[in-house]
Amino acid sequence: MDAQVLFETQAACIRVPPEVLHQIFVLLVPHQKTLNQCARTCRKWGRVAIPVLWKRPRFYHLADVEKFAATLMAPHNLMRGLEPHSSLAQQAISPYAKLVESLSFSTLPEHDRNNPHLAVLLDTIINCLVIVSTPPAYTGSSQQGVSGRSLLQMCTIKRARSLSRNGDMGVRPYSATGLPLGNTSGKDCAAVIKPAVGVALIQAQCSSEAAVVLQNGGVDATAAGAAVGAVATTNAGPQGLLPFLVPAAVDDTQLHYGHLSTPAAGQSPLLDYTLSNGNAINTRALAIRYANQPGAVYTTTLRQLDLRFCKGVRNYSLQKLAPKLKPLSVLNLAGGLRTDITIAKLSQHMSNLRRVSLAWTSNLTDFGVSELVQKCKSIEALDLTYCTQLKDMSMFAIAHSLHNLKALSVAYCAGVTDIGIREVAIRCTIIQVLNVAKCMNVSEILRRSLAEQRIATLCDSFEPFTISDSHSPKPFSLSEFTK
Amino acid sequence: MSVKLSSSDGREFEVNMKVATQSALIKNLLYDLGETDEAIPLPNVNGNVLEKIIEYCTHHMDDPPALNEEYDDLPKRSDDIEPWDEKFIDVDQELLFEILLASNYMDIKPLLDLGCKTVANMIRNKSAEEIRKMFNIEEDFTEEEKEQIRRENEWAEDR
Repeated sequence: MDAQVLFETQAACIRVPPEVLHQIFVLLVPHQKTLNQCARTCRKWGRVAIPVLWKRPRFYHLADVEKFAATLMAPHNLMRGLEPHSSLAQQAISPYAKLVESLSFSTLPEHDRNNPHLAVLLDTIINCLVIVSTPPAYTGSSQQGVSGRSLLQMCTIKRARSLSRNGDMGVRPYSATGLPLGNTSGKDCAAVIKPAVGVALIQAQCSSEAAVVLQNGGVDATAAGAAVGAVATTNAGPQGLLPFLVPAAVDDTQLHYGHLSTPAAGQSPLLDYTLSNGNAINTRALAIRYANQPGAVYTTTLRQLDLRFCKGVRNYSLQKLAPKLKPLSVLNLAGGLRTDITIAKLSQHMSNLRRVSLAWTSNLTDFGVSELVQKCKSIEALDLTYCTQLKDMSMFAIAHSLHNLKALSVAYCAGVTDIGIREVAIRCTIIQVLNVAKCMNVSEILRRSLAEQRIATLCDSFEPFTISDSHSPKPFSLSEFTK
Repeated sequence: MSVKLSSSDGREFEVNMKVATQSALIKNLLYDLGETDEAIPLPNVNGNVLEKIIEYCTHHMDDPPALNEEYDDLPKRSDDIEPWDEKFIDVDQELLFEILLASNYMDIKPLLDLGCKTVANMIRNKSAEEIRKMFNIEEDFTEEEKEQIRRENEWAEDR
């Protein structure tokens, strides 16, 4: 009854439930400034507004991108004192990083888009958004002494038969000496050392048990469990990880111990648990950051990346980021001076792409397009407007690879002829838009026959990649076809 | 065909089935209960608000069913309110929020949308201070939190 009275006396606007607040804030997405203010109104509003604000950030100055990156890199009580790119700093990503789903730099002014500093910032941001974990094959520690061949090739590996051997490593700068491996003596122990990042990972493999020990200074986390084997990570960097890693480490180990006591522990006991510091980030246990370690698993919430006309981000930096962008489903590289090689390399990593724009890429040839479509077969919308070097070869590649294609634009591509377009129209059975505006070599007869098949052949605004720009009226939009 | 609805303060309304079933809550209730002569109680909605809601549902009785969910990645708009709706929702703030809450409770999507759009339009371009004042919201951040939130979201301050 009391609750009822309270309920009645509270002003209605206080009683608005979070889901309704969310619906209101979503309407304010085009007005980022207002969302920001909403976040600062009170706790309840902040909790709802911040995820909406961070889901699709927009930037109007390079300085804003810098501030954005700074927040992602900020300590958050977790990562104080660590360099942005140092390995373990990335294990626990900023709580904000999990919110970002779409990154667009298209609202920056041209000189900012062409500024090479943008590439540095993009690199920083992406690295903040990504959680790296060793692939399951390496973490499955049930097999004795197999710690992953790729790791072997990449890093200096030292296998130690016993503690005393392990002790020999004391001469190395990032030594594993002094690890609380007492329990493991006489067992196999593989030490993986990557001096470049200043982190040594010791993966000890024993019978069928393993535990994570994050050791730093005098902290001994083995106390948390009576694990026989130990996987120890030492940080020998100048700054201590102590402030944030220790509580996590202890929790981890305990959690881990819980895993181990189950029969399935032998499979991959290091997978899928959450940091117990309230962030619920799946760090996949031994998230070890190697720069683009082949086979590493990158997890991120980022799904859309809009780099249209961002010449500041050069092909090289983009290629370097590619493995971390694997989950992307929307990618806009229009007018960014991309090359065939870049496209080929990117497409090797991004098999999940659904909407791609390479418009205004005059360097792009049939080779780049066929590499793309062979690797990214789920593409539903492809914008090749003004890719003037393209010929029918590209159309054939598209026709034979992209069975889910719903929209394609080859406007202004003079090299494309009736033969290629017909092939696409026949093979891509669910295509709805085939923009051939200003294609000089596509005949009127073909256009008419496409129209009869209810395929649109002209559209003014081929904007499948508009992520969110406020006031423009809803254009004829490909996104309608490409959920 | 008509249905009886009763509000939290005991008022009863007899409305056309087509009007009532715009509320998914009532629709589902009727589906579960079958036909009934008894009034359906709406304990979270008072008479004045229910009257307003019935006015809305009566006006929109013959609307075609809404299209599927809009695509998630298209920006949603808040400036496309129809003139009748605009006049309808031009009420004092307390009633506006009561309508919003009731439409959420009764699950009347178009009315909830209308309410949200209206509130969004009220908030737009206001500062946090103005919003708190407008809605009588108490600021419950500590100075530290305030500063932290400001700093962390500074990138979004311009527009």
